[in-house]
Amino acid sequence: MIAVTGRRLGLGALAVLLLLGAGAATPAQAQKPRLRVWLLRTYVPDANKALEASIAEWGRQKNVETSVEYFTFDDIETKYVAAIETDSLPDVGQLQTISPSRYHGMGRLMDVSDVVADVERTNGPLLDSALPAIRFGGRFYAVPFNYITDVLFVRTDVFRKAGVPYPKTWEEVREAARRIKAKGVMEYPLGQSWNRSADGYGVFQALLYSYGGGWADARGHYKSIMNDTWRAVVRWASEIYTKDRTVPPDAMAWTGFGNNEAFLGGKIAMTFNGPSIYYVLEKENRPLLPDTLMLVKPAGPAGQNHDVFLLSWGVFNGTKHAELARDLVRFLMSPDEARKYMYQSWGQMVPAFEKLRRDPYWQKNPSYKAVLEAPSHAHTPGYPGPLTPAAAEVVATNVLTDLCARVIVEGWDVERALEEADKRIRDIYATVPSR
Amino acid sequence: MLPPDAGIGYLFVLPLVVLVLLLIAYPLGSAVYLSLTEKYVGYPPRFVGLKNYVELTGDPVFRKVVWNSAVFTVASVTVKLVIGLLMALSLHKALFARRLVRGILLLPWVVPTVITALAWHWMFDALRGFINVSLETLGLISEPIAWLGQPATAMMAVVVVNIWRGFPFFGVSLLAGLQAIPADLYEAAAVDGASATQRFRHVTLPGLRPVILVTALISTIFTLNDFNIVYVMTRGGPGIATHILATYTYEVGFQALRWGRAVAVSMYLMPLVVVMIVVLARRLTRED
Repeated sequence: MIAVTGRRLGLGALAVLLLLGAGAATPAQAQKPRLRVWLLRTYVPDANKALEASIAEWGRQKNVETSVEYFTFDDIETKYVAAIETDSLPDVGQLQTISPSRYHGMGRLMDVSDVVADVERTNGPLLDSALPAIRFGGRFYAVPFNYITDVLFVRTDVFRKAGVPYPKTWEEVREAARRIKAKGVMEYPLGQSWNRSADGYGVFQALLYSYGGGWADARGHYKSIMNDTWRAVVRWASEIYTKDRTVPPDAMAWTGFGNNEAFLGGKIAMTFNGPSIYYVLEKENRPLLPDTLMLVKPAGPAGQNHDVFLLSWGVFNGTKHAELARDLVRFLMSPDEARKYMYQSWGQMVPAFEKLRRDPYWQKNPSYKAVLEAPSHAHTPGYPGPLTPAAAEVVATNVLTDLCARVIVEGWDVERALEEADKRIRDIYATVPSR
Repeated sequence: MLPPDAGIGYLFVLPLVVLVLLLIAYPLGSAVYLSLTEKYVGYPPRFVGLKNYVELTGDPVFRKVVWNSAVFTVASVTVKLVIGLLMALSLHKALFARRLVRGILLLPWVVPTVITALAWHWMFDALRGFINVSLETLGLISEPIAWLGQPATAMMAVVVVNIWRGFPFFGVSLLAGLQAIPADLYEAAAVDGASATQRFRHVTLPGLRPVILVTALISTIFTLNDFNIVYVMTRGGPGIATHILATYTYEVGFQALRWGRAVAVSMYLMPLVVVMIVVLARRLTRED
């Protein structure tokens, strides 16, 4: 048992006073504003580090304490949803394509039209394809950061060996795969999964929009999908499995990384993916690099109309430091900082602003040029209409890829699968709330 | 008329009552209320009564999810019970390096579920996976089997992983049960001329029944709520062939942002689980 003496009490009181004094001795530090920033952890660590360094640099310049938290491609929505419901959103955060329309509808995003105007003054005008994702009612609710574009990867050596030209249309993709298989060069040349990831629903949108299909009209209202365009698209998507048999047998069960692994492992000759595959080949200087080419995704009867993954900056309206948050975004999008990030991204991050797009960095080789060009053909979910919360939900709930799976995996006929998908889309549009 | 020390008794149970109310009754009550609302993330809830449940009942996707969950749970728990029983019987007998074997058999239970699921995902890979490569090397198959690409084999695959991960729990529990059966019962049966099968049927099984019931019940509840294995291995695919209640709840809640409906999905089988618990609890009490 410790005896409580007057001396011990005195020492204790002194210690408490010293601790309190230490706290009070740094008033400037105590008052330093704190900004929480949420970032996507991309597949390129160099780019992540560059962005984090820029944020830290801005914090030093402005005497602001910054804290960075990451999410991954898989849990972007999960993290934001939890934060919305618990009122713990950050001050600034990176948003994926569908997020601004959803969060703006919930009244969570600040109007950042002034920031977009400032960035356009220094970096040149925005690409049109970014607008539907960030502009609502004529006002901007997010500032475009970069596109992570989806392209067609081809193995040039396999194509050469089979004597097949690189495909420029969706039909040519199918034909190329059939010919490569028929010539015995590769059993399963086409790595296309209609799975529950962007590699599935993203590519399906590109196919659909290129054929002139859609599930919404130009005003963003539901439009029936029971038509010949959709039938043709679903036939394309399913017959590569059921008729051509040019796709690896378990591709339907691939997760988001399945096609990357198959391509890097030399098991397939074509796949649609973000440039992350090329990053691995370049960074590790793998033997496959000279035989790999990235191409802009093919055209359909209605042209080259593709999907989009646009990363943008949102400032959340719960922030206590709105002006600082906007200043941070301006700083990160300033020409010098944006270029620093771009050069560290190994061709993964494509700018949306004209002057950055003209940077010689993108002329390195035909693959980089293709990555740069791809966003010019991009369209947001719900095309030809605007990106609405309902259109976002159609994509997020895998209606498009479930439609293909019903035919490929469960043997449904196209008509029955379309009817089910049509009902799901109609229900979403009838019940999704929007301010 | 209350006894004079009733007040003290109530005082003693008060902390427990408060804990139960805070940790169980409040969250459960909130969940039930949410399931009766049209609650979209970022918007206030609107009471709609049983609308979510009615719509789910008529939804073919949800019906398929319920069926998948039933198949996943029943198949997993049944096989885990059989393997666990064999494991317990083997370990109960004198065996060389019994402790080592017991430790090794517990490994699947110790390894994090995500690691287990990733390892099995690679093994089931059609083109590079251990299983297909082995079968091809042995000349047993001429072309790869799409284990995770077809509904039946994909479901089988996630069930296999759940079994692999869960059978040690049965094994350890049943082993404890076996060790509690008095040895003189076996001796008496042997003296009466009972064969090994008869001793198993009339001594071992009745002695293990309470343990089997409790273990099966706990495992059923855990398996019904399993998320990691299916999410990591198939994301519910191909299509919705392995979508179970937990993964569907996640999709409806975090991707469709429809929280009211998501909670209704997870609450849908609650009455069945409650009935199961009550029936089994009564049986156990009667056995005691």
